[in-house]
Amino acid sequence: MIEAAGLARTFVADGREVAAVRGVDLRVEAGEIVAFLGPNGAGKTTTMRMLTTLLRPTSGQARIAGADLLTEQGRVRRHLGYVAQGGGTLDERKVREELMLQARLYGLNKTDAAERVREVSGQLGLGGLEDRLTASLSGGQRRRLDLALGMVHLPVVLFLDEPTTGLDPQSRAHLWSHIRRLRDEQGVTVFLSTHYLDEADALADRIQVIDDGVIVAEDTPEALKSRLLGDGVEVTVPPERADHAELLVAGLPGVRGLRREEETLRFQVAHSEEVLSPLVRALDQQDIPLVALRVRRPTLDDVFFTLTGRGLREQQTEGVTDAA
Amino acid sequence: MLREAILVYRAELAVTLRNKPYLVLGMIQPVLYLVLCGPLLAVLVSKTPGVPAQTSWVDLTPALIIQIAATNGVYCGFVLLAGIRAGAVDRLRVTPVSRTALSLGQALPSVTLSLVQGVIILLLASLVFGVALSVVGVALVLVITALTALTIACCADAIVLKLRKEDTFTSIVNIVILPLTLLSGILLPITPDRAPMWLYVLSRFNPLAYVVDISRASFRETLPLVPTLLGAAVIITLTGLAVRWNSRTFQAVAA
Repeated sequence: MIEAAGLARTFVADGREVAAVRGVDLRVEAGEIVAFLGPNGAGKTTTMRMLTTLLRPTSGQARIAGADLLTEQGRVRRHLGYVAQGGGTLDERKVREELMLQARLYGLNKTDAAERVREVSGQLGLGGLEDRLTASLSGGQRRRLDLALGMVHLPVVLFLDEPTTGLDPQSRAHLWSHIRRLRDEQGVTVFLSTHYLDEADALADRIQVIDDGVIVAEDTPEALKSRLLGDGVEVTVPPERADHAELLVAGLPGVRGLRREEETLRFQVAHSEEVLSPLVRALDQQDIPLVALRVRRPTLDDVFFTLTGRGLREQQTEGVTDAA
Repeated sequence: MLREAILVYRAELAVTLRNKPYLVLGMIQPVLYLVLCGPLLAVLVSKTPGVPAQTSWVDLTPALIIQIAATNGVYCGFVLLAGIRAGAVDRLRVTPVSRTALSLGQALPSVTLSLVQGVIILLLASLVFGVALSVVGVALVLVITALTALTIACCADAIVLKLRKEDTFTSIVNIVILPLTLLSGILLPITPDRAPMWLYVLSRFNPLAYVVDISRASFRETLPLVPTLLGAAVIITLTGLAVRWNSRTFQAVAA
């Protein structure tokens, strides 16, 4: 549905050339939800704007829903829906006016547009808000309107730039379920950018991690977490049996990074499920009582740290501005 | 193309009509000129030998309507700037709608506004100050008003799209509009017999001067041939160029 090869964009700022995106390769299959994960300034918005015809790439090429991004802009535009980071509504317009305008700009006549607006308003919980000025909507309502505007013409692929930034946890969860339903019920392909790890984890079938204009990793959330880090396991035994237990654990297959702190053993394995029952059985056979057993799943924050050597929230203002 | 331009136009017009302060303030300025400055000109003219008494109103009214068109055109640039900031312009640009339709739809509300305000000024001039109006004259002055508003709106939009910065746009407006207005002879006609030669020559390099000329000409009892043809040629050319420039700029922001 989305194929990109070597997509790059250079900006000129203060007489210097700044590479915001430096060769991005992407492949998103029909019906997938793919998250584009990276810190602010990593090049997410620039990539999105290139893929949605808003910004011409300095180099590289892409196809959206089978249409060439550079030579068939009209076809690309008909197939895609785009929800920008800051939305795209005017305060002085009413919800219905915005939706009707959008539907009619995609060629629907008045009757069909009104029908479609009713439908999409219902799906996104905007019923009853149609005659309100967009300025009077709450953050969550406004974001659902943005989503409705991106969906009103039934696009086959939807680009969402940081769809839940600035929303409260409840509104975020609400919006996530709407995005999932769009895919599950209408088969829409979703490509969303985010700097929230939990968002990528909760929504995406696959994650592309971008940092400093290049993709540094790509996989399912689960695979990404286990490939890079695996699960952390903590075993606590009576102090006098710790030496023995350490030997047993060291002998289990796939154990990495074993450390001992007094009577607690810490180690990593790719999948904790595969090691827990042999571990418990081995301890049992040697009559070592298990005082405590903890499994810690890695977060994507850990993943990002491992990939780039820094956490996600350290560098909020560095680099090229994403909005450029 | 036309259908889409009209859709965008109606949506933009609805937004402008909700800005009540602008609608009121936009009208106050020309009315103030007419009421506070008009009588002074009338006295001046009455003391100038050989000039007919009605000249001042006939000079001032059509010129003020051009000023209205210019103000609305510039305002259109600010509306576009707000739209860019809100992301509404990008929302339009990802649709398959032709860039010409988008740019025209964006600029056209300034025409509607100018025509309505122009009619109000004409009524005021006619009813309160007794300016004689002819059907041909009114029709001509309104066509010129519409074209002027469209031209300036398109230029303002194109500049805004290129700059995307509010303060820069404001300074450009201030730097360009004042000399452009003064040199067009909106308040006091710049004619060879009234103005120093250098000023007259300078004003002839200002396209807006020809537009003001034709606007004034439309108020004469008999339409003077040269200013009318020259003015028509200038404003039609300017409008064509401005519409094209704006549409191309809308196209090129994707670059």
